Amino acid sequence: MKVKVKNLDKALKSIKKDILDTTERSGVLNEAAQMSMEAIRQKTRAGLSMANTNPQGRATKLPPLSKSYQEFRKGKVSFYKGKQGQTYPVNEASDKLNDVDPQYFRPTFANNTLTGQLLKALKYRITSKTSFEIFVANTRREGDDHTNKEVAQFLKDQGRGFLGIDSPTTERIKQLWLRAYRRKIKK
Amino acid sequence: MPIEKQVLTGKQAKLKVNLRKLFNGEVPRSVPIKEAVGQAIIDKILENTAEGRDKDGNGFVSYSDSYANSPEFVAAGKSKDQVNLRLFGDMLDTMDVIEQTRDTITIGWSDDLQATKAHGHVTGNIRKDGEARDFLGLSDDDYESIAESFTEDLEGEATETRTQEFEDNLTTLRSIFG
Repeated sequence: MKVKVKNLDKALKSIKKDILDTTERSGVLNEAAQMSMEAIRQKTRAGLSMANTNPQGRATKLPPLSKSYQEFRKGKVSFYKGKQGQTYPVNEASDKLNDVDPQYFRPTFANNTLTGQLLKALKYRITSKTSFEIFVANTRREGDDHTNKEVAQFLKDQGRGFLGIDSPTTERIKQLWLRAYRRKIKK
Repeated sequence: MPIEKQVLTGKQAKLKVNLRKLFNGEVPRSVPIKEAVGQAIIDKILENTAEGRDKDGNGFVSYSDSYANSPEFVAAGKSKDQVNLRLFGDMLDTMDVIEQTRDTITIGWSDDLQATKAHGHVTGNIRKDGEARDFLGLSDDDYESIAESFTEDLEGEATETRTQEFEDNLTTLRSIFG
């Protein structure tokens, strides 16, 4: 589960003679990775998916939650699995709701946030002098048998993927480089 | 003729800066130095906006309660008391030098959505009460300070050989990112 920023790679390899020194390049690359990761986190919390963009490249809304899942998130029902794998609700609150993210969780709002652990598990790494990737760490979740990476994969399979870069974020990455170059021109 | 002029047509918001007026008749010739001047103006606008001040130094109108309670606002970790026109940062972080002529540079947005948002803030039509948050511009003192900071660059421009390298790299960055 990761998103690779390739445009940047292509762009920076095409620079004829780099005006920025190694430290400056590294600084801008880190800033771009940090900014992109935070954009994924914020837009997902706001109910947007950068993995599913519209024809203009903008993030689209995450699919709405089912009525039964909304009831679960309101603390009105729990789900149990039968022997054949069938799921059915009962009138009982889930223990999971004791640990909801107090700042970003809303019962009826689709934003891939219940406890908040998934989006906190977002990380980035610099993969070369000209590229980076953002990924969900494969860390074990508290109060859960799954890892955050597994949850991210499950959400993707459900059409709720969130790892991606939309066109405004691409433009912001471009501006980080342009601005660094322009500031370097001035004595 | 003033140093700056806002161009608010349709849903576009641009700031046209007269370099001849800014530098008292001496106009930078090279594209990179004009871009650097543009960047200094953008940086100052961003600094003022981050401090919650419009182009005249006045505080921005507060965010409405309905906006402050929206999921987007909460998700961005914003505070109702800190009005800085920054939700995710898409609008302010994509402000660019979008046009140059011999005597002018124009600051604005290549993306229509961001330009529309900026237009809404500058004109006030983004709000029900119509009150503007006019961040697109600088005071005369700000311009004077920017002009002074470029004195050495303008004097050394004739002997500067690296400007072509800067120009090549800026052109490459622009073209590859599209």
